Amino acid sequence: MTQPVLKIEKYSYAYPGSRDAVLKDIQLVINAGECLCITGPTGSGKSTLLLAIKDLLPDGRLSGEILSRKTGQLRGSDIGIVLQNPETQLLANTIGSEIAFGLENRCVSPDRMESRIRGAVSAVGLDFPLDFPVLKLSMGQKYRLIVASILAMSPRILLLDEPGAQLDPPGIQKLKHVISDLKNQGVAVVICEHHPGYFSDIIDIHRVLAEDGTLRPAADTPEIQPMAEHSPPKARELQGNPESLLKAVNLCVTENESLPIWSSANFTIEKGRRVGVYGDNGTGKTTLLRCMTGNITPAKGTISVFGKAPSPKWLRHKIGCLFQNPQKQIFENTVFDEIAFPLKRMGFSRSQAEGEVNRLLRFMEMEHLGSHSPHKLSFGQKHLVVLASALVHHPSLLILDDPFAGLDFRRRKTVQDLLMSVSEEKNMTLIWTGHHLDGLQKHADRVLEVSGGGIASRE
Amino acid sequence: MKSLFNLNRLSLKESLFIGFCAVFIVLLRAGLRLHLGIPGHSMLFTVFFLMLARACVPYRFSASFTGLIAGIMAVVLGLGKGGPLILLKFLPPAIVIDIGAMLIPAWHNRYLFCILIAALAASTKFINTYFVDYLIGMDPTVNLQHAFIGSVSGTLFGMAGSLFVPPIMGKLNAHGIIGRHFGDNPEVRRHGEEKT
Amino acid sequence: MHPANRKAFSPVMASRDPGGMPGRERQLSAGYKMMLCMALSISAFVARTPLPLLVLFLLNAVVLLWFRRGPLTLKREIRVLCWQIFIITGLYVLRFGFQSGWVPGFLTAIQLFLAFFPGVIFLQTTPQTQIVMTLEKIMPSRMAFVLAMSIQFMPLMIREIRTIYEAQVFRGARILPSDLINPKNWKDVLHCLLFPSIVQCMVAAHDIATAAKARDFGKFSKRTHWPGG
Repeated sequence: MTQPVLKIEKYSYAYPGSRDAVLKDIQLVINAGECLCITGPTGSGKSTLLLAIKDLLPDGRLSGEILSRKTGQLRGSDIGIVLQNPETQLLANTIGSEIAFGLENRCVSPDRMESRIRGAVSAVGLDFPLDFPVLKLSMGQKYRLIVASILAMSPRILLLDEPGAQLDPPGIQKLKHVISDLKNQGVAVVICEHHPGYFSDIIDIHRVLAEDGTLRPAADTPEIQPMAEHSPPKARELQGNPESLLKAVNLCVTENESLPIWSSANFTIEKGRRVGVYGDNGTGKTTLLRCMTGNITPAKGTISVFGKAPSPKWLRHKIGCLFQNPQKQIFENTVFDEIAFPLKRMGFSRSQAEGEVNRLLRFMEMEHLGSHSPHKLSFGQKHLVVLASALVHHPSLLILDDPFAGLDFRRRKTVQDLLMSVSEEKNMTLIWTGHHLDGLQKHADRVLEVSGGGIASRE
Repeated sequence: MKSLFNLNRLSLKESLFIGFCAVFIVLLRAGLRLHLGIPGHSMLFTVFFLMLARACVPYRFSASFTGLIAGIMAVVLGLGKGGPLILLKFLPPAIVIDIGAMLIPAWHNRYLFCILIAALAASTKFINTYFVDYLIGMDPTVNLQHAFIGSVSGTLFGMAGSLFVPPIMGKLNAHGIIGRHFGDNPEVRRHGEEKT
Repeated sequence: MHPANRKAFSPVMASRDPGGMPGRERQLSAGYKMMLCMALSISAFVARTPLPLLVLFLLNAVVLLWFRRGPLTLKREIRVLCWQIFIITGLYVLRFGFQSGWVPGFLTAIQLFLAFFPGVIFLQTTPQTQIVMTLEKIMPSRMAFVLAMSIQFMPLMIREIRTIYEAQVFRGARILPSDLINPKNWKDVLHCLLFPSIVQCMVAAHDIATAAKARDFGKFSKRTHWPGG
C-alpha cells in the first residue's frame, strides 16, 4: 500500500499563448491503492492537472517534473483518464466495441481481446451482452462503461474528472463500489470533484487546488462534507389567492412517438411558487421543461402556461430559460450586451437597459467586467452572465435546467442567492430541475418527483 | 491521395472540425431539399462551410478535405442522387476555395474577396453539369442552357453564403477563439475542459 | 438517430461486421458492387441510341433486383427522372422544334438518369457498415476515423444546436421560422445561432480528440480490429 506510483515535483504549467501558469509548483505523491481527491474552485486547473498526469496537454510553458513518468517507472499507458463529458468519450456503438477501442489502438491481438473486455465489463458490474447498444444505456451505465474501457487497458492509476457532475445518487453509489474494488487491487485513483462529500467514504487523501494554481492540503471547507441529507420542501405562504400559472392535465410525452417517457402527469403551479423537479438521470426532467416551454408537444393530455397551450413564439418575452451548460449560448461582444440582449430585442434602448443590467452586475460582483468579452470569462462567471440575461427582463416564469451543473460551492451560493432574491422581489415563479443532493431543494415550495414513468407532486 | 492530403499536418481536433463542417454540408443539403424547392440553394451552405473550414484550419487543403469527406459521407449515407459521382459536386468548389485562399492572404476578413472566391467556387457547378452532359453527347447549345439553368442560382446562393464568413471569422478572432491551432487556444480549452 | 441506424455507422463495427443480414451468401461484397455500379454508370455515357439504352435500362433493373435486400423506395428517383425528362426534352424542343427535338431530348434525359441510377442502386442495397469497411481499405485510417466520428456524433451536434436555438428564442432572438420571412432578422441567425454553434463544434472536436488520444488513438499507424459485435 505504501509503494508510490506517481510522484510530481515542483510542476508548473502555462497553456501556449498564456502568460499565467495554471498549475504552480505542484507537489504530489500517490501510492498504490490510494484514493486522492482534489477539490477547488471552478477554473482552478483541476482538469489541467489530470491532463498533465496523462500527458495530454499541448506544448506550453512548463517546469518541474512528473518524476515517475520521467524515470520510466510509470508509462503513459499505465494511466487511465475518464474526462468530464461521457457523451464525447463514447466512440463506438456497442459495449464490446467501445471497450475494444483502446485495445485496438494498442494493437492487442484480436484473440486476446475478449477475455480483457469481459473482465472489464464484470469489474464495473455492467450486466449486458457485448453487442448491447451504448445508446440504450443510462448516464450512470455509460460512465461505468467508460471506466471499463479504461480498465481493459490495465491502468495502474485511474484519473476521474468530476464524476459527481454526471451521476445521480445511484450512479455514484455504483461507481464507489467499483473504485473500492480497484483500490483493493492496488490501483491508485485520483478524483477531481467539486463535491468530495459524494465520495468521502472511499477517499484517503484530500487536496485543494487553489485559484492561484497551487495544491494545498485540504482545510475543512463546507465542500468536504458527506452527502447532504434530503430536506423536504417547505411551502411558503403566498400573498392573497395566487392564480394558477401552469397547469398539466393527464400529460403524457413519448419518445420517438411510441414509448412513453412519463404519463398521466397532473399538477398545477401557482404564480410566485418555487418548484423543484427532481429525479434520477434519464427520467425525463429536461423533457418536462421542454414540454412546459412548448418545444415538445405532448402525446396525450394538455398543458397550459399563462392560460394557453405553450409555444415558443407565445412565451418568448414572458419567460426566462436557463438550459444545461448555458455558457454555450454566449455570442455578444461584451458582458453588458450579453445580459442586455433580451431587453434589446424587446425594444429597450441601451440607456433604458443600463439600470437593470448594472444592478445584476453589482449583485454578481462583476461590475468591472461589463465591457469585457464574455468569452474570456471563467466558467462560473459565464454561467452567471447567462443567468442574468435570463432574469434581466423580469420574466413571470423562470425555467432552469440543472442550474448548478459544474459550479463550485461559492458560485452555487451566488446563483442561489440571486434566484431567491429576484424571485422574492418580483414574485417570479421558479421551476428548476436538479439532483437530490444539490441543496436547492430546501428552497422549493413543492417538488415534482419524476420516476418510474410518472410524475408525483409533493408539498 | 496520401501525398496530396497529408493528414499528419492536421491535429486530430482540426480533422474532426473539418469532419463536422462536412456533416453540416451534407445534412443541410439533405434537410433543406425536403422543404425548399429552389434550385441551387444548397450552394449557400456548401460554400459557407467549405470557406469556414479553410478559414479556421490553417492547412492548405482544408476545404478540399472537407469537400472530399462531405462527398464520401453523402455516398455512405445515401443522401446524393448521383452515387459515387456526387464527389464531383463537393470537390471542385472546394479546390477553387483552396486555390483562392492560397492566392489571397487574409481573404476571409474581406467581403469582396469572399464573394469573388465564392462566385468562382460555386460556378464550378456549371463546369460539372456541362462536363457530364458533354460525355452523354448532349447537343452543345442545349448543354449550355441546361448547365446555365443549374448553375446561375447556385452561384448566387454561393455568393450569399460567403457573406457569412467575414463576420463569423471576425467574431471568432476577436474573442480569441481561433488562433493558429484553435484547439490549443485557451478559450476552446476552457469550454472543453470545464464543460459538464 | 435510431439506435439501429447508429450501429450501422460505427467505424470499428464496420471492420468487424460479419455481414449479418439474411441472404448474405448471395450478395457481392460492397467493393464489387461499387465497381459493377460504376461500370453500369459509365456505360450510360456510351449508350446513345434507343436499343443500347433499353438494354442498359433492363440491366439496371436486373442488378437492382439482384442486390435488393428488402423494400425499395424509388419515389425520389422517379421524381428526378420525370423532372429531368421535362427539362431536357423541353430544352431540345425549344432548340429543334417538337418534331425533331423530343426524341433525342427524351433519350438524353434517360441516358443522364442511367448515369446516376446505378449509384442509387448501390446505396440502397448496401449497408453503411459495408460501405465504411470498403472505404477503410482505400483511405488512410485517420480519414476513416474522422469520417466515422463525424457521422457518429451528428445526432449530438444536432442536439447541441437545437438546445442553443431553443435557448436563444427565449432570450428574444428572432430566429423562429416565421421571423425569417423578414431578412432583417437573418443577422440574428448569424450571431445567435450560427456563431455559438460553430464554437460548440470546435469544443466537441477538441473533446472527442482528447478522448480518443486518452485511449491511445494514433499511438501506432495501424490498429488491430476486434472481431466481435
